[in-house]
Amino acid sequence: MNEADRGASSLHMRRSLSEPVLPLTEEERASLWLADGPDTETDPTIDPAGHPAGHPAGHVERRELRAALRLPGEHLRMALHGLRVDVADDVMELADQGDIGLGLVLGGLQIDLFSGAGGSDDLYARLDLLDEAAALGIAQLLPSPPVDFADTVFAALGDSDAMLLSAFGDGELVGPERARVTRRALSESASQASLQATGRLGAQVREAATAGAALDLWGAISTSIGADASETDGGDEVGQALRQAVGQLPAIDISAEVMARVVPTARGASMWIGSIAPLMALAAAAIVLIGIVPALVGHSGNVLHTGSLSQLATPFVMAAVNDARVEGLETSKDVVAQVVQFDEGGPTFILVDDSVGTL
Amino acid sequence: MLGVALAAGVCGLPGAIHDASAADEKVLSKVQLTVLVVHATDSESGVDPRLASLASSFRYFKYSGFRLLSQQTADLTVNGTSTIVVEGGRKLKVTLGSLDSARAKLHVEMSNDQGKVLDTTVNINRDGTFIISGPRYKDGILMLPLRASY
Repeated sequence: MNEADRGASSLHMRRSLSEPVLPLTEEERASLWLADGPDTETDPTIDPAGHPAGHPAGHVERRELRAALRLPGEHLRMALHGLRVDVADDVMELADQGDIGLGLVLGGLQIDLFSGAGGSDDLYARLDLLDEAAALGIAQLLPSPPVDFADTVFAALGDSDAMLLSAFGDGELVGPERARVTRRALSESASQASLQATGRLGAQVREAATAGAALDLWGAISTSIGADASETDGGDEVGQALRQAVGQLPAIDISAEVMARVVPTARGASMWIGSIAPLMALAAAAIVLIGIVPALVGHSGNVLHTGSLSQLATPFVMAAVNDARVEGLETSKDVVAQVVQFDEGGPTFILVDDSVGTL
Repeated sequence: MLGVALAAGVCGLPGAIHDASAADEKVLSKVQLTVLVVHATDSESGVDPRLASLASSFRYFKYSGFRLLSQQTADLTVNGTSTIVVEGGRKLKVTLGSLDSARAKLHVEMSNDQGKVLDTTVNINRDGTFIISGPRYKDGILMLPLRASY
């Protein structure tokens, strides 16, 4: 890279990640929630370094992200493209604001943003906005409707905060008070585990949802019997009757025939059948009872042709721990690379958009 | 006679130790580099079963489908280089910088049809994986998991 390419932009700088991690300055600590409120002064969950216990900080990714977030907004968006929009938008909003100092936790992803110190009221206003996102944890990464974490946070705070909990659950807490309640929930290991477990559940739900469309039996049934699809009164009785009738039927498995119509016949296709066989059996039972033969199985887009697993010469197996230390990172002009690790022990991602520019 | 036999045995020992050390050094002198080329796209749904071990990491991305386009492996000795051709006119040039029992250092350069766009050095734990993600491809992006196993 020649001098002409080494513009004022930090994009061109080769970053040495052997630099020691600097402790937070007093200004930085003051700009964070960590230094405020009686609950944080004596909070044993906050370690002397100023980071909430249980929030293992990825120093490498924090430093990289900190540098990246001083970049012009467009470059940051380019670096974050491919991430879910709500995640990228939250971070973009922070970067655009300019003078913010706070920590944001999204599951295992930590983004510490240090870019000067703004006014405390302004800071708390943003903390309130983003601590809500933080309190929802990984749920923010889920497609709408989002998982409601209010109960999780509520349960994590204990009986002694009954009044606060009630207000929190009713959405009455605002500003610094709400931020403190959600921060405590995040700092407590029990709530962390719960949040992460719920986040994993949400991810599984998302995967299941994207694997295929849900079956809308009532819509098909109501059309066949001339009922209003929006009318669900008495549905419990109908459902009970249906369940009893289905239970008396012999097992019917049309999954192979259905999958043969949807997925190209291949040795690997059976990997997909097992996950939807129960739904297929229920659909088949409904068909027998109601006499409807609609296309109940729908897939949005094309289902992947799985091919044969034997095509992999050596199966790709992820190690339990994937500890990548990026010791040097250089990109061409107008190309941004960002280092992110989403899960502790998970693989490190080097996000890069090479749409423009070369070294 | 016994003394001669004992002397021969003692003389043999250093050789045996040397052979064991040489074997260890031989084991640690190369890695098997595995590179997957994955297409993240919205035009398909689901995760290719061959990528099952990576599925949990993909969930943070907005794409609905993840298809394995290719898998390439190469044995790399220290200071050795392997060039992997990637879809979209790109290439990955990977050099094994150093190696010990716990970690391997890989120097990775990615280039497209216009030249080099990424130059990075990654120190990865033994059998660990890191992923270069984001190069645009068709209606989505490419994700390139790299694993150094030995």
